[in-house]
Amino acid sequence: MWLAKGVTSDLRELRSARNDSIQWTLSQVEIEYLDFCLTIQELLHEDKTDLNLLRKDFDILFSRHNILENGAVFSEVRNEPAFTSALAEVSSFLERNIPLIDGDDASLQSALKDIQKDAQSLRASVRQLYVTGLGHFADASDGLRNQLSATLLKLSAATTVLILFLIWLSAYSRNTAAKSRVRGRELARANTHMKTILSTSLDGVIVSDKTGCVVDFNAAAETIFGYKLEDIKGQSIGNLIVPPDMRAAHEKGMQRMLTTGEKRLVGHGRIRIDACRADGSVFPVELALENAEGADGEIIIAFLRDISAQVEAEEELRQARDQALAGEKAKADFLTVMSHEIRTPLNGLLGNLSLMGNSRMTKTQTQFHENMEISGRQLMKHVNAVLDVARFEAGKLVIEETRFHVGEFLQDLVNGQSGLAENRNTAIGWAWVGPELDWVKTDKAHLERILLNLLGNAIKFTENGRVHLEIEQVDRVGNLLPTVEIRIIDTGVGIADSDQIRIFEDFETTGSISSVAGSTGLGLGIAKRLVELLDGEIGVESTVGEGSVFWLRFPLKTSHKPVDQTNAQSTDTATSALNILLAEDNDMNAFVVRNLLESEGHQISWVEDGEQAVEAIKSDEYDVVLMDINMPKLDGLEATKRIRDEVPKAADTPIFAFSANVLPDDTTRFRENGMDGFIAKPIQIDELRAALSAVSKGRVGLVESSRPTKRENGAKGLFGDDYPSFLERFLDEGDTLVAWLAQEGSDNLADTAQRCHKISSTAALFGATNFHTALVAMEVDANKRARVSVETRIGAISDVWETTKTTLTKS
Amino acid sequence: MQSSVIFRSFYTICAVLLLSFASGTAQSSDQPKVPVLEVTGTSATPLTFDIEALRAIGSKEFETSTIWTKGVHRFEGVPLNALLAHLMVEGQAIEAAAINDYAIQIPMSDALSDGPIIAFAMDGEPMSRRAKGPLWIVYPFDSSSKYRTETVYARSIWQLNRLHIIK
Repeated sequence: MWLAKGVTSDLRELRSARNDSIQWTLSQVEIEYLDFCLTIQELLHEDKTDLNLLRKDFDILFSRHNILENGAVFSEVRNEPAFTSALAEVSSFLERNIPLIDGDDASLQSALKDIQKDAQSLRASVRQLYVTGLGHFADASDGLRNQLSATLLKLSAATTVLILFLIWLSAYSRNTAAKSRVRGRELARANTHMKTILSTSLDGVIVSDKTGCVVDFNAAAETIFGYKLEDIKGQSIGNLIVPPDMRAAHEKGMQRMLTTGEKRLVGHGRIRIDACRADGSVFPVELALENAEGADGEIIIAFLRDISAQVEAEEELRQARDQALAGEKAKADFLTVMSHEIRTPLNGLLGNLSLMGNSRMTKTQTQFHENMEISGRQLMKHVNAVLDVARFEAGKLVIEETRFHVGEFLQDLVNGQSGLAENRNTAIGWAWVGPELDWVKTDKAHLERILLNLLGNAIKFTENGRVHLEIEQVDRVGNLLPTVEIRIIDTGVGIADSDQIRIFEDFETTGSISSVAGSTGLGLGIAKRLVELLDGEIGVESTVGEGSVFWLRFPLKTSHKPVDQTNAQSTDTATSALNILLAEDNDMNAFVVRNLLESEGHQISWVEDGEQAVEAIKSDEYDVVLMDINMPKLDGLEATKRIRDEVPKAADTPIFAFSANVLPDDTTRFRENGMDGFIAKPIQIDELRAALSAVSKGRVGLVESSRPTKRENGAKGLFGDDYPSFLERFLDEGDTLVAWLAQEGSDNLADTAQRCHKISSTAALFGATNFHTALVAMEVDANKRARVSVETRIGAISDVWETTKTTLTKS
Repeated sequence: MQSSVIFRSFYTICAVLLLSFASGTAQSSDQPKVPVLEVTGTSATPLTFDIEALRAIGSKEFETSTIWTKGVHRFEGVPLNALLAHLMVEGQAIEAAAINDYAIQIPMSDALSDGPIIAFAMDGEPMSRRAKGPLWIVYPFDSSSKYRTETVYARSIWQLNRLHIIK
């Protein structure tokens, strides 16, 4: 700036040339002086006569001199003494001669010579003026030039710097421009990519501002919702895609987000929610919300996927699964019901066979009788196996650990099987491999069942060979929980490789097995389940023609020798006398049970319904209660519940369900209602004994076994001298029921079920198996309210009853 | 073209007569009715003006300093453009000459309304020949830097007594 100012002022100095033409003026002084002198000369020689010419020259000289004296340009040079003295000389000459010049012509003419002389004396001064002035102005001009050149030098330097700066600036701006062009291109490319991604995305993408108004709506979203972006831009998203019943909640959510900034959905991953199409149909979507900063503030981006098909597929899958589960359950129920329905008449059959055994028979008949009994037991075994499987499937099997000596246990087991092995001319034995264990703790019954099955199979398929049981501790983890492997090795027929996995499945048999032994194919399946229950595994290695090795591996807790060894081992000794409460509405059943238990030395109190049972418990002390389930007024379950809730002293008194119902669901119900066990009807003395012996030893567990037992006596034996009167009552009751069924059986099904149930257990007591079975079937149908089935059964029951009556009255 | 020159000459003569008449009253003043300016190039015969005639054409005053005098002075004179308008001439330039035969060309473009005047009085007094009079072309040097150039100084002719219009 100062530089520019300096240059400008220097230029102004040059431009506004205050100097005029200094040299002109200076030289003009001398010229005009000489003119003046010349004019005097001419006048003196009378070449000219007009004195005014002289006057004019004087005035001109005067004016010129006046400029030197007053002119601004000469103010500096007037400081020089030589110039000033010369100026003063000229000035005094002019002043001196004014009177002569202004005088009249005559005096001027006469004074010409004096003026000439005076003027000539001035010549040196005039010259002095010229020389001094010229010198001064040459110096001043030099100074000015130098100053100007210095200024110009500075200017050029500054200009160079400026140019360099401009070059740098232009390079920089070119660079910046290039960078921003590259960035712009990249941005444009990214934008194009993003647009392409959005437009080809299969997911709907909706962009809204923070008030919920649509900003963008991609092609997929248009397809999903049936809107066009140009139609809905700026509209509220809530009114477009949120189903009407959810709009209030949506508005509330948007309001909350606006006022408090709280986001419940945004940035919380994928959620499932219902959405609404343009045509109003509602469908499920998977939705993810994210927020970002847009050009005009916060925006919300929604990614949506139409999951109608997925949800439908899931629903179908769920239904399929439910159906499969229901099918499984139906199968288990069916198996249980069928087995039960088979077992009950089978019991009758076996009971009658036992009775028949007491009678006199020919040798052939005895042989037939024996065959029938063997087959009957076999059948009973199969039925029980099926029931076991059902129990497994229902998850009802628990582990009851007992302490026993493993060596004695195995020895007993092998001893028990030695007879069978001997029959097939096969040697049997067992041995420890490696260190032995003695006292252990596990579920002895389960283990026994597994080993019996495996030993039984081995003997079955080995003839003139050898069956050997090896037991070995493997992978001993610590002292308390060693893993034990038991191997049952036979030299039998062996199992083909292709069958080795299959044989552990339910109902799987090899061709040879079924033909030789008539198996259910359930034995190994049950064994496998039991081993798994014990946290173990089971497997087989076999070569056809050489034999098989079945192995099982399971953890076995070691234990110590019990104090009273003999007591611990005995499970089946005589029961001490107990005070028993029997709640049973069927007096014939009650009679039979009383007879049986009193003959064992127990004391029996009999009540006929649940209410009486509760009262009896309150007033007296009992060791155990046998509780029928189906009773008038208060059923067995309710009665048990009330006893457990209302009678503190009987809180721990064992209560056994006493019922013909043995469905897995039922036993669960019994247990849930506070019962300790369950004894099946018709009554089996062994079961009763086992249950009561458990009570007398203070070891109450779930007693559910229902092994086929040879009935000591028939119905006659059970009732003794009272048989005829009970038979008569039974016949009456039967007649009444059949008549009632024919009249009203299909009207009140609940009543029908109740009546059938009551008579059915009596029928079982009398060995009226067909009638019993028919009544149980009727009860089941009536409970299911299957009216048509009940109606068809009514006719059949009438026929069965007639046959039964004939049989009973004959015997 | 010929006729316009004749007309212009006629007007000029009329104007001169009129001015002579008008200045008759001022004749008695100490300003002798001496012709001070001769204008040639407008007509066949030169035109002459005395101070009064010039004052009658138009008068303008301004104050300015000059490089030839000390301090600021008040100059009064007829504006060059007024004189040219009065003469109704058009041309390239004016050649101005002084008593000592100094001569300089002034372009017509200099004759602006706020431009130079032909001064006949300084500080209210007529200028004698000894004080650069009686006529002096003075530019308003102080009003603009454009008037402070060597060229303009050269045109500021004093002891002016002749103008010649160059067509």
